[in-house]
Amino acid sequence: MAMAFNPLDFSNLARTLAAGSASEAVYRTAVGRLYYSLHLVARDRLALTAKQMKKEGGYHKAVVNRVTKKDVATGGQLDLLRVLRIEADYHLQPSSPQFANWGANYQTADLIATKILPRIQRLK
Amino acid sequence: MVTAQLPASVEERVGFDPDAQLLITVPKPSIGVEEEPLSHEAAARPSEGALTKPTWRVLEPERDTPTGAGADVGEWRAQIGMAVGGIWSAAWPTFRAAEIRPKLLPAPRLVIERQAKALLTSRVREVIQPLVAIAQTQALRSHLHVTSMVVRPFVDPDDDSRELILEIHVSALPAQGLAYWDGLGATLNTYRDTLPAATAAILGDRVSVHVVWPSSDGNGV
Repeated sequence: MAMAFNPLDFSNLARTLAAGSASEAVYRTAVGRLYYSLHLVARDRLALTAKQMKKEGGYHKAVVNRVTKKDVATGGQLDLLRVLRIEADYHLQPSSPQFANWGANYQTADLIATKILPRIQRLK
Repeated sequence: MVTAQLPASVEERVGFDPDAQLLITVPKPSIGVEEEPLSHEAAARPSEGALTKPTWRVLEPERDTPTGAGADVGEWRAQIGMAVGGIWSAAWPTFRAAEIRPKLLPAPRLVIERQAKALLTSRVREVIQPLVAIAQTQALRSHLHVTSMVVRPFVDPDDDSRELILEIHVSALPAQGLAYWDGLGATLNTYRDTLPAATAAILGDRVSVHVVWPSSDGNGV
């Protein structure tokens, strides 16, 4: 059986990308990889099944909700990463002025991901 | 110590932003904190008769825009019922648990984006109103300035889900903003434990709380 993929490799990839060429596409991609890194770690720690997540609002919302129920701040911070990921992947124009600068968006995502990763790894 | 009599209702100044936003400013005092040990909680709490039931509504420009001579285009006065007393009442258990003594202080601007209106049910408002007061209180404890609060909708096209985000905009460095967010989260964890299960579930399920600080320039991308 193949070894399971380590979601933290997504974080490493994000930081490698962001340390290279500074383009909006790079930052958008890096933000998305940071989010998925945290999302997958949280999902595994919470042992959520696809059926449960679907029942609880969807694959992304369910994970954020479960984390929020344990800690409002960590859940909110993961939710901001989720919002930034949606912004990165779907919005060609910023949905809000605060998301207009992708260098800043990446910095925010990196700061939050670094901060909440240990908390998410301790989720029970 | 209560430093002023709570008004029975709050008359607020309301402005209409043509860029599809409803701007609500509250020039009259709201709730802040005074960090002193609580020794006379009962005396500090306003009487029930002084509390006003909160009755929010999002303004309809067509209905609420002033007409006639003297009307100030884009700005008018109206009775909205985000009454200070109602917030105080709802948030009181949290203040008491955290040994916070409320007093009257200026409130930040609250912006409700027009698209958020459909998701602002009465039950959601009941959750958001205390959050506004608690966020302001926590900011004062953290010595941060809340520049504005924004209620905006968020749609996740992958999950096909819709929710509201209460954005608390603070004037702070990123590390300070995150520390404030953590402190606010701890207070909200405590507050949520005092709520009925169905109401508590709204926090997270239908309303998320985000803290926003001024972004650095990044590299301009």
